[in-house]
Amino acid sequence: MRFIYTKAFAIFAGCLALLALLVIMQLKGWLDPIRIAFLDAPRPVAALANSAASPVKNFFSTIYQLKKISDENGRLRAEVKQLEQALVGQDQQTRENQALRDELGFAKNTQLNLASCAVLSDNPFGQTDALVLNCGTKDGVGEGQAVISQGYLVGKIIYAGPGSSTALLITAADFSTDARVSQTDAAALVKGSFGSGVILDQVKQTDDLQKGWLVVSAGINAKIPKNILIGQVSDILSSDNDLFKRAALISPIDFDNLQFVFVVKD
Amino acid sequence: MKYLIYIIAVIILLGLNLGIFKSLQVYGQIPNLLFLFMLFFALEKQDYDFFFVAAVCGIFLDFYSAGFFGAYTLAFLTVGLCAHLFANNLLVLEINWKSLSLVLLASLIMFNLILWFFQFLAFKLGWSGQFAGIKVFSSEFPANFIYDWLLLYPVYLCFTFVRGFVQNLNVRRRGVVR
Repeated sequence: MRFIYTKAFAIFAGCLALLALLVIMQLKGWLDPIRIAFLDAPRPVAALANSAASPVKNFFSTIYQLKKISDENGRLRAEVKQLEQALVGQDQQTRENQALRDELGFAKNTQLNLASCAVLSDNPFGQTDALVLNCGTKDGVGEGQAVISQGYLVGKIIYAGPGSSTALLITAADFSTDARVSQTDAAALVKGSFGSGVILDQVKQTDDLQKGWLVVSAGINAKIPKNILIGQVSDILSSDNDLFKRAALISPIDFDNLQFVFVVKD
Repeated sequence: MKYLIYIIAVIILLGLNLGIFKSLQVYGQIPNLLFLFMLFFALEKQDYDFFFVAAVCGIFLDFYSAGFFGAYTLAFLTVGLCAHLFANNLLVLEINWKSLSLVLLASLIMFNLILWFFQFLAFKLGWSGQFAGIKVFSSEFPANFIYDWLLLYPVYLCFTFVRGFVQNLNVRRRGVVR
């Protein structure tokens, strides 16, 4: 009871009465002008303090962020590596896609009975200029059959297993097949030449032969149909004194990067 | 004149509170420099200036808060009175840092409880459209207390400076030559 007679209580009661009055004024909306003054009063000090504290805040914020930045950097590096690997795979797929399109473009327009094969590897058993294909006897592939790519002869099957086969490229030194010059129908022989590509040989001296002329298969070999493009005469190698005319042939096929080929089935 | 100095000190502290500590939040909490300032005034024995400081601080925070007007002023006045009664009647020796920490803890709890109760009452009476639940206060309290506790000494320095300035002013006004 004695407390209510003290000065402290009297002042406290007076403050409560003033507060009640302020609350009523606030409810009536009469405090708005005062409110603006109260809100604006600390603004200059706040602005000054904020401008002074900003460099400190940025400094500590940067230090705090450093670990996050470092972690994010590590995560982004790992992501970049993954994306690079995915990109390599995608590039490979793009090349394969283009190769397939090129092959299918020919396959669509031909009447030959073809077996599509993928090149598994090259240089099997130490043989140069040979390919391993992923199709074998179960796919109708047999020895001696022609292997073509984009309509050009690239080789012939020398070994056929149940699920895979080996093809000898036309650039191999021990490859040979009958051919004819498309423009004159002159008979000839196409053989591979170690380090020199493809050679057209045994053309009679009486038959005409010029650069740019096309050479196709003759079809004498029953397993290699006729009129399959082999290449184009690029250079005449023989002279008039030689027994036969010889020429170098060029083929548009990139024998080092073959991915998909067709085998001409019986 | 001293009340004008108190108002200026409150404005400066509020400006510092808003300018510096608003961007240095700890678990979403900023310290209440005005509360600490008022607390030091309330712990002064035989001095009733804390009522003025509490009222001014409370009105400032009421205008800055989004809650119903009067909550902060009532809380400041009540906590100030309680701290003053404690300092005058229960505290035998001068207050030290241990007892000051306990006083701060108890006064902050009382302050938050009064705030919550006032807002609850305003909500129930239809004066306010919303109020924060007690769980909000309790989840924010630990960070709030630690942040305030860390700033006890700087605010105490500010308080002693203001008190010293006001006392010197009174002495000079009375014409006492030192």
